[in-house]
Amino acid sequence: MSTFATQISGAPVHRDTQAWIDEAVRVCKAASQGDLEARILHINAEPQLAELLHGINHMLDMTDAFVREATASLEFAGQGKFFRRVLLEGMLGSFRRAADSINAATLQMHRECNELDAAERRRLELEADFNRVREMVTGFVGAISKIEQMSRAINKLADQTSLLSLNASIEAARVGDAGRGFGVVATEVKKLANEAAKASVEIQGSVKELCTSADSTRKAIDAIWQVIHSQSKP
Amino acid sequence: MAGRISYSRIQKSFGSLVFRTIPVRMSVATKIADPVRLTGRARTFSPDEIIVSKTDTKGRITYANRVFQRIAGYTEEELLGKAHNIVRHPAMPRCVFKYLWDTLASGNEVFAYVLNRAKCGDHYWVFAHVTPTFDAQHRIISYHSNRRSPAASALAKIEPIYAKLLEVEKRHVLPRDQWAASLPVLVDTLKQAGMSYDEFVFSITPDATATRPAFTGAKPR
Repeated sequence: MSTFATQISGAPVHRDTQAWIDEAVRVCKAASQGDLEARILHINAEPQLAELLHGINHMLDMTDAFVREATASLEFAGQGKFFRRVLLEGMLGSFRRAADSINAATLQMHRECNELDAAERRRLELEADFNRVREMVTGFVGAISKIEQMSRAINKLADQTSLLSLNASIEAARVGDAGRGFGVVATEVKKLANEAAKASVEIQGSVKELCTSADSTRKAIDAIWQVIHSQSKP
Repeated sequence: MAGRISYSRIQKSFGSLVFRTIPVRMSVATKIADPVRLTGRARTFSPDEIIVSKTDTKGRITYANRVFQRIAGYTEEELLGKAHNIVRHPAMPRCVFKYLWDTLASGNEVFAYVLNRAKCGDHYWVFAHVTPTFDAQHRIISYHSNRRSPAASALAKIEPIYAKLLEVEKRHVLPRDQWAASLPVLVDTLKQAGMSYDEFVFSITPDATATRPAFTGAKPR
Protein backbone atom coordinates (compact mmCIF):
# COMPACT_ATOMS: atom_id res chain seq x y z
CA MET A 1 0.00 0.00 0.00
CA SER A 2 2.81 2.41 0.88
CA THR A 3 4.67 1.83 -2.40
CA PHE A 4 1.34 2.32 -4.19
CA ALA A 5 0.81 5.64 -2.40
CA THR A 6 4.25 6.97 -3.32
CA GLN A 7 3.62 5.92 -6.90
CA ILE A 8 0.45 8.03 -7.05
CA SER A 9 1.80 11.17 -5.47
CA GLY A 10 5.27 10.97 -6.97
CA ALA A 11 6.18 12.10 -10.46
CA PRO A 12 6.19 9.51 -13.28
CA VAL A 13 9.03 7.08 -12.68
CA HIS A 14 11.49 6.42 -15.50
CA ARG A 15 12.16 2.73 -15.56
CA ASP A 16 14.30 0.59 -17.85
CA THR A 17 12.84 -2.50 -19.49
CA GLN A 18 13.97 -4.78 -16.65
CA ALA A 19 12.32 -2.50 -14.05
CA TRP A 20 9.02 -2.55 -16.01
CA ILE A 21 9.15 -6.32 -16.22
CA ASP A 22 9.86 -6.51 -12.47
CA GLU A 23 6.85 -4.28 -11.86
CA ALA A 24 4.68 -6.46 -14.12
CA VAL A 25 5.86 -9.58 -12.28
CA ARG A 26 5.01 -7.96 -8.92
CA VAL A 27 1.47 -7.09 -10.06
CA CYS A 28 0.89 -10.50 -11.67
CA LYS A 29 2.15 -12.26 -8.53
CA ALA A 30 -0.22 -10.19 -6.36
CA ALA A 31 -3.12 -10.99 -8.71
CA SER A 32 -2.33 -14.72 -8.68
CA GLN A 33 -2.54 -14.57 -4.89
CA GLY A 34 -6.01 -13.04 -5.13
CA ASP A 35 -5.02 -9.38 -4.73
CA LEU A 36 -6.88 -7.78 -7.63
CA GLU A 37 -6.15 -4.24 -6.40
CA ALA A 38 -2.63 -3.93 -7.81
CA ARG A 39 -2.20 -2.09 -11.14
CA ILE A 40 0.76 -0.80 -13.10
CA LEU A 41 0.76 3.01 -13.02
CA HIS A 42 2.55 5.72 -15.02
CA ILE A 43 3.21 3.43 -17.97
CA ASN A 44 5.71 5.24 -20.20
CA ALA A 45 7.73 2.29 -21.52
CA GLU A 46 8.51 1.70 -25.18
CA PRO A 47 5.26 1.10 -27.18
CA GLN A 48 5.31 -2.72 -27.35
CA LEU A 49 6.18 -3.12 -23.69
CA ALA A 50 3.60 -0.45 -22.78
CA GLU A 51 0.95 -2.43 -24.67
CA LEU A 52 1.83 -5.52 -22.63
CA LEU A 53 1.63 -3.56 -19.35
CA HIS A 54 -1.72 -1.99 -20.34
CA GLY A 55 -2.87 -5.50 -21.30
CA ILE A 56 -2.10 -6.72 -17.78
CA ASN A 57 -4.08 -3.82 -16.30
CA HIS A 58 -6.98 -4.51 -18.68
CA MET A 59 -6.97 -8.22 -17.79
CA LEU A 60 -7.05 -7.29 -14.09
CA ASP A 61 -9.86 -4.75 -14.63
CA MET A 62 -12.03 -7.37 -16.32
CA THR A 63 -11.26 -10.06 -13.72
CA ASP A 64 -11.83 -7.55 -10.92
CA ALA A 65 -15.16 -6.47 -12.44
CA PHE A 66 -16.30 -10.07 -12.81
CA VAL A 67 -15.32 -11.01 -9.25
CA ARG A 68 -17.08 -7.93 -7.81
CA GLU A 69 -20.22 -8.58 -9.86
CA ALA A 70 -20.39 -12.31 -9.09
CA THR A 71 -19.75 -11.73 -5.36
CA ALA A 72 -22.38 -9.01 -5.08
CA SER A 73 -25.00 -10.98 -7.00
CA LEU A 74 -24.54 -14.11 -4.88
CA GLU A 75 -24.37 -12.14 -1.63
CA PHE A 76 -27.69 -10.46 -2.48
CA ALA A 77 -29.24 -13.79 -3.53
CA GLY A 78 -28.16 -15.18 -0.15
CA GLN A 79 -30.21 -12.41 1.49
CA GLY A 80 -33.21 -13.22 -0.69
CA LYS A 81 -32.69 -10.15 -2.92
CA PHE A 82 -32.79 -11.76 -6.34
CA PHE A 83 -33.05 -8.56 -8.39
CA ARG A 84 -29.25 -8.10 -8.13
CA ARG A 85 -28.22 -9.90 -11.28
CA VAL A 86 -24.68 -9.89 -12.65
CA LEU A 87 -24.33 -6.98 -15.08
CA LEU A 88 -23.36 -8.45 -18.42
CA GLU A 89 -22.09 -5.26 -20.06
CA GLY A 90 -18.35 -5.49 -20.56
CA MET A 91 -18.30 -9.22 -19.76
CA LEU A 92 -16.97 -11.21 -22.68
CA GLY A 93 -16.23 -14.88 -23.43
CA SER A 94 -15.83 -17.06 -20.35
CA PHE A 95 -16.67 -14.12 -18.07
CA ARG A 96 -19.95 -13.74 -19.97
CA ARG A 97 -20.73 -17.45 -19.84
CA ALA A 98 -20.06 -17.62 -16.10
CA ALA A 99 -22.14 -14.48 -15.54
CA ASP A 100 -24.99 -16.03 -17.56
CA SER A 101 -24.76 -19.18 -15.44
CA ILE A 102 -24.93 -17.19 -12.20
CA ASN A 103 -27.91 -15.19 -13.48
CA ALA A 104 -29.71 -18.36 -14.56
CA ALA A 105 -29.03 -19.91 -11.13
CA THR A 106 -30.24 -16.90 -9.15
CA LEU A 107 -33.33 -16.69 -11.37
CA GLN A 108 -34.05 -20.35 -10.60
CA MET A 109 -33.45 -19.69 -6.88
CA HIS A 110 -35.89 -16.80 -7.09
CA ARG A 111 -38.56 -19.03 -8.69
CA GLU A 112 -38.08 -21.74 -6.09
CA CYS A 113 -38.17 -19.21 -3.29
CA ASN A 114 -41.48 -17.88 -4.66
CA GLU A 115 -42.86 -21.42 -4.83
CA LEU A 116 -41.80 -22.06 -1.23
CA ASP A 117 -43.51 -18.85 -0.17
CA ALA A 118 -46.71 -19.91 -1.94
CA ALA A 119 -46.53 -23.35 -0.28
CA GLU A 120 -46.05 -21.71 3.11
CA ARG A 121 -49.07 -19.50 2.49
CA ARG A 122 -51.16 -22.56 1.53
CA ARG A 123 -49.93 -24.38 4.65
CA LEU A 124 -50.95 -21.45 6.86
CA GLU A 125 -54.41 -21.42 5.25
CA LEU A 126 -54.72 -25.17 5.85
CA GLU A 127 -53.64 -24.71 9.45
CA ALA A 128 -56.32 -22.04 9.94
CA ASP A 129 -58.95 -24.29 8.31
CA PHE A 130 -58.00 -27.17 10.58
CA ASN A 131 -58.18 -24.95 13.62
CA ARG A 132 -61.76 -24.10 12.69
CA VAL A 133 -62.60 -27.83 12.30
CA ARG A 134 -61.02 -28.51 15.71
CA GLU A 135 -63.20 -25.83 17.28
CA MET A 136 -66.28 -27.25 15.56
CA VAL A 137 -65.58 -30.77 16.87
CA THR A 138 -65.04 -29.41 20.39
CA GLY A 139 -68.41 -27.63 20.14
CA PHE A 140 -69.98 -30.86 18.85
CA VAL A 141 -68.65 -32.86 21.85
CA GLY A 142 -70.04 -30.17 24.18
CA ALA A 143 -73.49 -30.42 22.55
CA ILE A 144 -73.48 -34.22 22.84
CA SER A 145 -72.68 -34.14 26.54
CA LYS A 146 -75.59 -31.74 27.03
CA ILE A 147 -77.91 -34.22 25.28
CA GLU A 148 -76.61 -36.93 27.59
CA GLN A 149 -77.39 -34.83 30.66
CA MET A 150 -80.87 -34.13 29.34
CA SER A 151 -81.61 -37.81 28.63
CA ARG A 152 -80.49 -38.64 32.17
CA ALA A 153 -82.98 -36.07 33.48
CA ILE A 154 -85.70 -37.62 31.29
CA ASN A 155 -84.84 -41.07 32.69
CA LYS A 156 -85.13 -39.78 36.26
CA LEU A 157 -88.44 -38.12 35.39
CA ALA A 158 -89.74 -41.40 33.88
CA ASP A 159 -88.73 -43.33 37.04
CA GLN A 160 -90.57 -40.84 39.25
CA THR A 161 -93.61 -40.86 36.94
CA SER A 162 -93.61 -44.67 37.04
CA LEU A 163 -93.53 -44.62 40.86
CA LEU A 164 -96.28 -41.99 40.89
CA SER A 165 -98.50 -44.08 38.57
CA LEU A 166 -98.00 -47.09 40.88
CA ASN A 167 -99.20 -45.01 43.80
CA ALA A 168 -102.17 -43.80 41.71
CA SER A 169 -103.09 -47.45 40.84
CA ILE A 170 -103.03 -48.38 44.57
CA GLU A 171 -105.19 -45.36 45.47
CA ALA A 172 -107.61 -46.18 42.62
CA ALA A 173 -107.94 -49.83 43.79
CA ARG A 174 -108.69 -48.63 47.34
CA VAL A 175 -111.79 -46.65 46.29
CA GLY A 176 -113.21 -49.64 44.39
CA ASP A 177 -115.46 -49.23 41.35
CA ALA A 178 -115.43 -45.47 41.48
CA GLY A 179 -111.65 -45.50 40.94
CA ARG A 180 -111.61 -47.98 38.04
CA GLY A 181 -111.42 -45.29 35.37
CA PHE A 182 -108.64 -43.53 37.21
CA GLY A 183 -106.83 -46.90 37.57
CA VAL A 184 -106.85 -47.30 33.75
CA VAL A 185 -105.38 -43.83 33.37
CA ALA A 186 -102.68 -44.65 35.96
CA THR A 187 -101.74 -47.84 34.07
CA GLU A 188 -101.46 -45.90 30.81
CA VAL A 189 -99.27 -43.29 32.49
CA LYS A 190 -97.00 -46.07 33.76
CA LYS A 191 -96.73 -47.49 30.23
CA LEU A 192 -95.77 -44.09 28.89
CA ALA A 193 -93.22 -43.63 31.68
CA ASN A 194 -91.69 -47.01 30.89
CA GLU A 195 -91.47 -46.12 27.19
CA ALA A 196 -89.86 -42.79 28.02
CA ALA A 197 -87.33 -44.62 30.23
CA LYS A 198 -86.58 -47.10 27.45
CA ALA A 199 -86.13 -44.27 24.91
CA SER A 200 -83.80 -42.34 27.19
CA VAL A 201 -81.64 -45.46 27.71
CA GLU A 202 -81.44 -45.81 23.92
CA ILE A 203 -80.50 -42.15 23.61
CA GLN A 204 -77.76 -42.64 26.19
CA GLY A 205 -76.42 -45.61 24.23
CA SER A 206 -76.34 -43.57 20.98
CA VAL A 207 -74.78 -40.61 22.75
CA LYS A 208 -72.03 -42.88 24.11
CA GLU A 209 -71.30 -44.09 20.56
CA LEU A 210 -71.30 -40.50 19.32
CA CYS A 211 -68.91 -39.50 22.12
CA THR A 212 -66.51 -42.30 21.19
CA SER A 213 -66.48 -41.39 17.49
CA ALA A 214 -66.23 -37.65 18.23
CA ASP A 215 -63.28 -38.36 20.50
CA SER A 216 -61.45 -40.38 17.82
CA THR A 217 -62.28 -37.65 15.25
CA ARG A 218 -60.73 -35.07 17.54
CA LYS A 219 -57.65 -37.22 18.06
CA ALA A 220 -57.25 -37.72 14.30
CA ILE A 221 -57.62 -33.97 13.64
CA ASP A 222 -55.09 -33.21 16.38
CA ALA A 223 -52.61 -35.62 14.82
CA ILE A 224 -53.01 -34.02 11.36
CA TRP A 225 -52.79 -30.53 12.87
CA GLN A 226 -49.54 -31.46 14.60
CA VAL A 227 -48.10 -32.55 11.24
CA ILE A 228 -49.15 -29.33 9.49
CA HIS A 229 -47.95 -27.22 12.39
CA SER A 230 -44.54 -28.89 12.57
CA GLN A 231 -43.95 -27.94 8.89
CA SER A 232 -43.95 -24.26 9.77
CA LYS A 233 -40.75 -22.33 9.02
CA PRO A 234 -38.32 -22.22 11.95
CA MET B 1 -25.60 27.49 7.63
CA ALA B 2 -24.97 31.03 8.82
CA GLY B 3 -25.75 32.31 5.34
CA ARG B 4 -29.07 30.57 5.40
CA ILE B 5 -30.10 32.07 8.74
CA SER B 6 -29.26 35.56 7.64
CA TYR B 7 -31.09 34.96 4.37
CA SER B 8 -34.34 34.07 6.14
CA ARG B 9 -33.82 37.02 8.47
CA ILE B 10 -33.36 39.39 5.55
CA GLN B 11 -36.35 37.86 3.81
CA LYS B 12 -38.50 38.61 6.87
CA SER B 13 -37.29 42.21 7.01
CA PHE B 14 -37.34 43.11 3.32
CA GLY B 15 -39.71 40.57 1.80
CA SER B 16 -39.66 40.41 -1.99
CA LEU B 17 -36.61 42.67 -2.27
CA VAL B 18 -34.36 39.70 -1.49
CA PHE B 19 -35.58 37.67 -4.44
CA ARG B 20 -33.64 39.91 -6.77
CA THR B 21 -30.35 39.47 -4.97
CA ILE B 22 -30.44 35.71 -4.42
CA PRO B 23 -30.23 34.55 -8.07
CA VAL B 24 -27.16 36.73 -8.48
CA ARG B 25 -25.45 35.09 -5.54
CA MET B 26 -26.38 31.66 -6.91
CA SER B 27 -24.89 32.28 -10.30
CA VAL B 28 -21.69 33.50 -8.68
CA ALA B 29 -21.51 30.29 -6.63
CA THR B 30 -22.08 28.22 -9.77
CA LYS B 31 -19.37 30.07 -11.68
CA ILE B 32 -16.82 29.45 -8.95
CA ALA B 33 -17.64 25.74 -8.85
CA ASP B 34 -17.60 25.27 -12.63
CA PRO B 35 -14.72 27.00 -14.33
CA VAL B 36 -15.06 24.75 -17.41
CA ARG B 37 -17.58 25.68 -20.04
CA LEU B 38 -20.01 23.01 -21.22
CA THR B 39 -20.11 22.21 -24.92
CA GLY B 40 -23.41 20.26 -24.89
CA ARG B 41 -21.70 17.54 -26.94
CA ALA B 42 -22.30 13.96 -25.76
CA ARG B 43 -19.59 11.29 -25.67
CA THR B 44 -20.32 7.58 -25.68
CA PHE B 45 -18.39 4.36 -25.27
CA SER B 46 -18.95 0.75 -26.30
CA PRO B 47 -21.19 -1.56 -24.20
CA ASP B 48 -18.23 -3.97 -24.16
CA GLU B 49 -16.03 -1.40 -22.43
CA ILE B 50 -15.86 -0.59 -18.75
CA ILE B 51 -14.55 2.67 -17.34
CA VAL B 52 -12.55 1.70 -14.26
CA SER B 53 -11.21 3.84 -11.48
CA LYS B 54 -10.06 3.32 -7.94
CA THR B 55 -9.91 5.93 -5.21
CA ASP B 56 -8.56 6.08 -1.69
CA THR B 57 -11.00 6.50 1.21
CA LYS B 58 -10.93 10.28 0.71
CA GLY B 59 -12.11 9.94 -2.89
CA ARG B 60 -8.75 10.72 -4.51
CA ILE B 61 -8.08 8.81 -7.71
CA THR B 62 -5.46 6.07 -7.39
CA TYR B 63 -6.12 4.32 -10.70
CA ALA B 64 -7.82 5.26 -13.94
CA ASN B 65 -7.97 2.82 -16.84
CA ARG B 66 -7.41 3.78 -20.45
CA VAL B 67 -11.15 3.88 -21.25
CA PHE B 68 -11.59 6.44 -18.45
CA GLN B 69 -8.67 8.51 -19.78
CA ARG B 70 -10.04 8.41 -23.33
CA ILE B 71 -13.67 9.29 -22.50
CA ALA B 72 -12.92 11.91 -19.83
CA GLY B 73 -10.11 13.37 -21.94
CA TYR B 74 -7.55 13.45 -19.13
CA THR B 75 -4.14 11.82 -19.01
CA GLU B 76 -3.27 9.41 -16.21
CA GLU B 77 -1.03 12.09 -14.67
CA GLU B 78 -3.88 14.60 -14.65
CA LEU B 79 -6.19 12.15 -12.87
CA LEU B 80 -4.00 10.45 -10.28
CA GLY B 81 -4.24 12.06 -6.86
CA LYS B 82 -7.18 14.29 -7.90
CA ALA B 83 -10.60 14.18 -6.24
CA HIS B 84 -12.98 12.02 -8.26
CA ASN B 85 -15.35 14.95 -8.65
CA ILE B 86 -12.94 16.24 -11.32
CA VAL B 87 -15.52 14.72 -13.73
CA ARG B 88 -18.53 16.12 -11.85
CA HIS B 89 -21.14 17.67 -14.12
CA PRO B 90 -23.14 20.65 -12.72
CA ALA B 91 -26.40 19.06 -13.97
CA MET B 92 -26.00 16.16 -11.52
CA PRO B 93 -28.14 16.46 -8.37
CA ARG B 94 -25.96 16.57 -5.26
CA CYS B 95 -28.23 14.23 -3.30
CA VAL B 96 -27.25 11.35 -5.62
CA PHE B 97 -23.60 11.74 -4.56
CA LYS B 98 -24.64 12.18 -0.94
CA TYR B 99 -26.55 8.89 -1.13
CA LEU B 100 -23.64 7.26 -2.97
CA TRP B 101 -20.99 8.19 -0.41
CA ASP B 102 -23.24 7.40 2.57
CA THR B 103 -23.98 3.95 1.14
CA LEU B 104 -20.29 3.30 0.46
CA ALA B 105 -19.26 4.46 3.94
CA SER B 106 -21.69 1.93 5.41
CA GLY B 107 -19.75 -0.77 3.52
CA ASN B 108 -22.28 -1.43 0.75
CA GLU B 109 -22.06 -1.36 -3.02
CA VAL B 110 -23.98 1.36 -4.81
CA PHE B 111 -25.33 1.90 -8.32
CA ALA B 112 -26.07 5.20 -9.94
CA TYR B 113 -26.74 6.69 -13.33
CA VAL B 114 -24.27 9.56 -13.48
CA LEU B 115 -23.76 12.38 -15.93
CA ASN B 116 -20.05 13.22 -16.10
CA ARG B 117 -18.12 16.05 -17.66
CA ALA B 118 -15.08 15.50 -19.84
CA LYS B 119 -12.12 17.86 -19.64
CA CYS B 120 -13.15 19.72 -22.80
CA GLY B 121 -16.69 20.35 -21.51
CA ASP B 122 -18.36 17.44 -23.33
CA HIS B 123 -20.61 15.22 -21.25
CA TYR B 124 -21.05 11.45 -21.00
CA TRP B 125 -23.56 9.28 -19.15
CA VAL B 126 -22.40 6.22 -17.22
CA PHE B 127 -24.07 3.48 -15.22
CA ALA B 128 -21.73 3.45 -12.22
CA HIS B 129 -21.21 0.55 -9.84
CA VAL B 130 -19.09 1.58 -6.86
CA THR B 131 -17.85 -0.88 -4.25
CA PRO B 132 -15.72 -0.54 -1.14
CA THR B 133 -12.59 -2.67 -0.90
CA PHE B 134 -11.88 -4.15 2.53
CA ASP B 135 -8.72 -5.29 4.26
CA ALA B 136 -8.49 -8.54 6.26
CA GLN B 137 -10.04 -6.78 9.30
CA HIS B 138 -13.01 -5.73 7.09
CA ARG B 139 -12.01 -2.06 7.22
CA ILE B 140 -12.62 0.00 4.08
CA ILE B 141 -9.25 0.71 2.48
CA SER B 142 -10.34 2.01 -0.92
CA TYR B 143 -13.20 2.33 -3.39
CA HIS B 144 -13.57 0.81 -6.83
CA SER B 145 -15.83 2.04 -9.58
CA ASN B 146 -16.88 0.25 -12.76
CA ARG B 147 -18.85 2.41 -15.18
CA ARG B 148 -20.80 0.84 -18.00
CA SER B 149 -22.43 2.36 -21.04
CA PRO B 150 -26.05 3.07 -19.99
CA ALA B 151 -29.09 2.05 -22.02
CA ALA B 152 -31.04 4.91 -23.61
CA SER B 153 -34.25 3.53 -22.08
CA ALA B 154 -32.74 3.83 -18.57
CA LEU B 155 -31.61 7.43 -19.20
CA ALA B 156 -35.10 8.32 -20.41
CA LYS B 157 -36.42 7.24 -17.01
CA ILE B 158 -33.69 8.76 -14.83
CA GLU B 159 -33.40 12.17 -16.52
CA PRO B 160 -36.85 13.49 -15.45
CA ILE B 161 -36.11 12.40 -11.85
CA TYR B 162 -32.75 14.20 -11.85
CA ALA B 163 -34.39 17.28 -13.38
CA LYS B 164 -36.90 17.30 -10.52
CA LEU B 165 -34.14 16.92 -7.90
CA LEU B 166 -32.08 19.64 -9.54
CA GLU B 167 -35.07 21.96 -9.54
CA VAL B 168 -35.35 21.51 -5.76
CA GLU B 169 -31.60 22.04 -5.29
CA LYS B 170 -31.68 25.29 -7.30
CA ARG B 171 -33.71 26.90 -4.52
CA HIS B 172 -30.71 26.66 -2.19
CA VAL B 173 -27.23 28.13 -2.28
CA LEU B 174 -25.08 25.92 -0.09
CA PRO B 175 -24.40 22.35 -1.28
CA ARG B 176 -25.37 21.01 2.15
CA ASP B 177 -28.76 22.73 1.95
CA GLN B 178 -29.17 21.53 -1.63
CA TRP B 179 -28.88 17.82 -0.90
CA ALA B 180 -30.73 18.19 2.39
CA ALA B 181 -33.69 19.54 0.39
CA SER B 182 -33.54 17.11 -2.55
CA LEU B 183 -32.78 13.85 -0.70
CA PRO B 184 -36.33 13.63 0.77
CA VAL B 185 -37.69 14.17 -2.75
CA LEU B 186 -35.62 11.20 -3.98
CA VAL B 187 -36.81 9.08 -1.04
CA ASP B 188 -40.40 10.07 -1.79
CA THR B 189 -40.04 9.20 -5.48
CA LEU B 190 -38.82 5.71 -4.51
CA LYS B 191 -41.66 5.38 -2.00
CA GLN B 192 -44.17 6.13 -4.73
CA ALA B 193 -42.53 3.51 -6.94
CA GLY B 194 -42.75 1.10 -3.97
CA MET B 195 -39.12 0.04 -4.37
CA SER B 196 -35.78 0.28 -2.60
CA TYR B 197 -33.15 2.39 -4.39
CA ASP B 198 -31.30 -0.73 -5.64
CA GLU B 199 -34.51 -2.35 -6.87
CA PHE B 200 -35.47 0.83 -8.67
CA VAL B 201 -32.08 1.10 -10.40
CA PHE B 202 -32.29 -2.53 -11.52
CA SER B 203 -35.89 -2.12 -12.63
CA ILE B 204 -34.93 0.61 -15.12
CA THR B 205 -31.74 -1.20 -16.24
CA PRO B 206 -32.54 -3.51 -19.15
CA ASP B 207 -31.35 -7.08 -18.72
CA ALA B 208 -28.74 -7.85 -21.37
CA THR B 209 -29.74 -11.55 -21.25
CA ALA B 210 -33.12 -10.70 -22.72
CA THR B 211 -31.48 -9.78 -26.02
CA ARG B 212 -29.38 -12.95 -26.18
CA PRO B 213 -30.30 -16.61 -26.71
CA ALA B 214 -30.74 -18.46 -23.42
CA PHE B 215 -27.59 -19.98 -21.98
CA THR B 216 -27.89 -23.75 -21.65
CA GLY B 217 -24.68 -24.61 -19.79
CA ALA B 218 -20.92 -24.55 -20.20
CA LYS B 219 -19.89 -26.23 -23.43
CA PRO B 220 -16.41 -27.71 -23.71
CA ARG B 221 -14.50 -26.16 -26.54
